[in-house]
Amino acid sequence: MNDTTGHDALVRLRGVHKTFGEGRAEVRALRGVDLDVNPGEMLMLMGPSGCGKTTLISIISGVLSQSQGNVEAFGYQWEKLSEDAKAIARAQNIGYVFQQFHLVPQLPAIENVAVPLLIRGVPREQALRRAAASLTDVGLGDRLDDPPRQLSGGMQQRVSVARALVGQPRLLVCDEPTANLDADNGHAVMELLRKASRRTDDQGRACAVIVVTHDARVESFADRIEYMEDGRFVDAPVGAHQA
Amino acid sequence: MLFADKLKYIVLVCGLAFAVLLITQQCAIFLGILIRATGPLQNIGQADIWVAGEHTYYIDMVRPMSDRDLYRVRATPGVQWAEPFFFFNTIVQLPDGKFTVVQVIGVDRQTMIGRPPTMLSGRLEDLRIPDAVLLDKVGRRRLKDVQVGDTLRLNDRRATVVGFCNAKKGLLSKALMYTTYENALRFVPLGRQRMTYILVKVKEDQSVREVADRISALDGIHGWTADEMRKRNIDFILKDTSVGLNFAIMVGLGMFVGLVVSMSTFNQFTNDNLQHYAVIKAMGARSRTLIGMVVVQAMTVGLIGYGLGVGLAALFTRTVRNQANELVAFIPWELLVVALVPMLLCVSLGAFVALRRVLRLDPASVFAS
Repeated sequence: MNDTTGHDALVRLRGVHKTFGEGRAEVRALRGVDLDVNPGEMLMLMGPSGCGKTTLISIISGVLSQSQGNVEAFGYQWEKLSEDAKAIARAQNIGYVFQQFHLVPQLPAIENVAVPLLIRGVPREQALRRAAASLTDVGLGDRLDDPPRQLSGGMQQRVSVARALVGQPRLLVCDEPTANLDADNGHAVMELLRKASRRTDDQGRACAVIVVTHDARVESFADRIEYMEDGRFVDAPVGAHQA
Repeated sequence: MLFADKLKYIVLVCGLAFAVLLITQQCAIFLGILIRATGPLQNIGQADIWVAGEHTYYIDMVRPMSDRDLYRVRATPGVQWAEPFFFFNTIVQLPDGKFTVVQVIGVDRQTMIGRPPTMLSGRLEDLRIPDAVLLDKVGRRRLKDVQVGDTLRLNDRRATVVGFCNAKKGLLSKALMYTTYENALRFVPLGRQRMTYILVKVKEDQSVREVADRISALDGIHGWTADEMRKRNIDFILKDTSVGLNFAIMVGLGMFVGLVVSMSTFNQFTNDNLQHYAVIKAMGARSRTLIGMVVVQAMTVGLIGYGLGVGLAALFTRTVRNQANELVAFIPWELLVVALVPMLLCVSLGAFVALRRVLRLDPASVFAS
């Protein structure tokens, strides 16, 4: 895991292709994507369904391998890492926010938030203390012991954001974080994500945020918007707002 | 995760507890039967060798010998003493006119070899009174709680109860009735071949094995050491009856239930939580962490189910003992280990099936909304 690139970009993709299936069933999800994601940046990926956004963030996160091209993240080349090394790199560097929240329904909010720290091997007591602080940061300091079913959709997504931020990740990957929320809650969640991109960790490193979204209401939060179509980046469609 | 899913957790624990209960309880009863099969042998500690007709496989299934056989055994080199021992089932008529089966045990009038191990009331010496009999405590209950001094009828002969004793019964025994050898022959007339067993004590400077071999060399009879006789009885139950097979089937069913319950519940639970496992995997959980999660959950419910199962089986055994029931059950510590193995097997297979799904899970599926 010392395959440092020496570049400033936190994530750097060059000529990335991804193909699923073979022969007549072959689907080309990405067709030569180049992308730099810089620390402190809030990047929004937009485009129609099936354009390759989810495939792209999966490859950036190291949970999916590219068919061709080069992917560097946090100084590592994903394809050169073993599965365990990738897992460790993900645990140390990436936080996730999902459209469906993906909170464990049986666990209270504080334990849900503590999960990434427990995966890293942080002692339980310390993990719960940091989880409580993270929940307080997103305005849920009074709902620590509530299971997800007792929280509204907006609150659940804030718990999800607290979980993503609790480990002070260098990259936040957010998949349609506002899709299941009303305008007010969507706005509140995007505020939290933008705040996260402006924050630095204990070592002074800024966090980058990638948001995949269809939600035009949240475009204004982005530092940069990239539009995708048919597996590649395209110019902004007519009428789209460029931040 | 599983512990918070109360319904599946309870189903899994109950299923495993039931399987362990079935396995432990059936094995305990089976062991009880094997021990009981040698009950009459355990009552007699004085004899080194049991002599009976050739091809005797089980203590209750014997071909009687003649007085001549007794003399031949007494004349065998190395024999310190040899005494006749009567052991035969017959019908006893109760004072109210009803009847039941008793096992008549005739012991030598002088030496009392083959006597009951423990007297509960009355005196052993009173057996020398004409027509006197001793009853064991279970037999007393079966004979409508007869009292000392009561008279019973056996094959039109009168028998007077002079006391009660404690003795281990055989597998087929209903009630034990001790009397002298001479009385036994009157109660159960067998003709010329009337001696069921000959009990032999070997001289101190002689080898029990060698003396037994010398006796076996005599025509028509065979000598078995006490250990051989015990083993022969157990072998008969194991090999010549379907008891072992029936219990094995029950134990197999217990394992099957445990396996089906643990595998199906674990599988269902895993399916329900695949997305959460995927999220944890995407967040950076390594394979060993996921294996640890599944194994800890499986082993915890397994051990709780095991504890409940053996606890219930122990309660059952204790209840059976307290009630001096006909049903016998025995749980040695080795049985607890024996019951643990199939439980671990069931849980491990359940966890293995679940793990295969979890480890093959694509973490990229977390983004598939």
